[in-house]
Amino acid sequence: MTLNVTVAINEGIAHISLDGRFDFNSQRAFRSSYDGPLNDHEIHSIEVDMKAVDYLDSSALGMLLLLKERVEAANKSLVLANCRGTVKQVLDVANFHKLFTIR
Amino acid sequence: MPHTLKNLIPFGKAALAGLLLLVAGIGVVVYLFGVDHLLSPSHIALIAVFGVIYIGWTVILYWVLAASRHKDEARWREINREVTDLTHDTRQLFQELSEEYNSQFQLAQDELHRVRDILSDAIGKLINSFTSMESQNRNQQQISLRLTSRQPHPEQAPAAGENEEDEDNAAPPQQPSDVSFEKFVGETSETLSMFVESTIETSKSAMRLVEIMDSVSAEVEDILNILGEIESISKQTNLLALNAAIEAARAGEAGRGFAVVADEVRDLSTRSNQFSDQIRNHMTSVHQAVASAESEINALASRDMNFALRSKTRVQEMMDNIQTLNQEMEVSVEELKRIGEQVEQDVGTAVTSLQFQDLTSQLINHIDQRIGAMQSIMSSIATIGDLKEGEDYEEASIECHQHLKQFKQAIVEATTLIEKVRHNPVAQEQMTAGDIELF
Repeated sequence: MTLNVTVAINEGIAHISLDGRFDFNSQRAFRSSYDGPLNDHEIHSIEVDMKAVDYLDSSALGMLLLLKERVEAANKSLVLANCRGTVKQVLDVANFHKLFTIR
Repeated sequence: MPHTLKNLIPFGKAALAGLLLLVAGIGVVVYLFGVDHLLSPSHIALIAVFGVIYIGWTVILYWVLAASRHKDEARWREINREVTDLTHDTRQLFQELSEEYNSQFQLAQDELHRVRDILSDAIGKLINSFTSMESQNRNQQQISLRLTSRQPHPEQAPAAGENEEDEDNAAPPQQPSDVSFEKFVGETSETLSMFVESTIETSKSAMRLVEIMDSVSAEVEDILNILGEIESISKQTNLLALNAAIEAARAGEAGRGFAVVADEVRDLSTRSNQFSDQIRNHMTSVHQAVASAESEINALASRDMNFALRSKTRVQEMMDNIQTLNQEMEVSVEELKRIGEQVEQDVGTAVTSLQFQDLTSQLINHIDQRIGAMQSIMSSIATIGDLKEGEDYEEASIECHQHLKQFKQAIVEATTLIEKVRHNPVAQEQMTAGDIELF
């Protein structure tokens, strides 16, 4: 029931891959995954790979919004990648396509 | 002229002719052979014989003529009788014919008049009916147009100017029929969006709270660690004080002051421990509070998004249905309009066609006149056979001639009348679709 978070850094882009159920209990894992890249001057972009996410609720959306806030404060860019199926539907209904770059 | 005298006339003519021939014959003989020859006894005998032959011939002629005359008379009487009978029968026939024709003509005229009345009545009713249909059709058209352009019914529109002073109501006044599905679905969609946004904002704030809670927890951890340090320091202090007390006891009287100090230090460290415990208890409470706050925030922040997905799908379906409905409505309106125009056209044709009453009136009048003419002819026919009973053949034929003359006269008059009718033809041959005048 927990979310597995892996971070890979490649040419100034931090790829954060999420696997599993993205909800309230993922808060610490998610936060700690992007804290480092945010403060790293070498990194100019953060990409969150949602391919393996099978469920996300409003808390996940809230966390993504917090991430966006902080990425913008650090003058970096943020991309949500590989959004499919229910994940994409939820992002659409929340109008996230207007707020995020979604691939 | 008496019957017998009539017989004698042809006979007289024949006899005279024979006599003349005889004399002519004698004259020729005298001429050829001279008078002397004439007076010889043989010639006189010859003349006598000729004379006897002549007389005989005359008598025979008379008999023959009388006989034939008699036969002819009988035959003529018979014919006369037959003719009279025939005439009598004919007269009766003509009378019957005339009566029959007249009664038929009368019936025909009556029926004609009935036709005229029925037509007039029916046409009047039809025209009224069509006029009414036409106006109903127009009403229908207007109503269907109103329905589709969503204009309010004239009876339901509020009085104008009621809301002019109300600044808040800058939008057009609410009409009862302004509640459209589209508007409703649109509002639902908006409401959903607002709710979703609100939910996510709440979650965002909640997650921020969680982070704050986390940092509080971290602080508590640190404090507890520090407390641990403090407690170990306290323990050390205690041990040192104990050591100091022992050393003081070993020093005897000189160490008595030091022993007191050592005891005080021990008290201090004990008190320090107590405070440390209290702090620890408070930190535990704080930790528990933070934990319960976190679980509350969990409930607050975790909203399943499926409700939104379902709602959105429902709204989309609604919109699609409305779209389809609108299209169907448009098609129906077009259809209604077309039908309305068709009905108008058909009613127009019907009303124009009804104006045939004019045509038929004239035609009926013509027929009426023709029947009248024929009736008069028939009356004349009846009088043809009007012969007095037992009349003389000649007198009867003269009277017959007169009747025939009258008959001919009647036909001429009738023909003139019919000619007049023919030269005054009915105005139109057929009805064409032109301007309709509803009268």
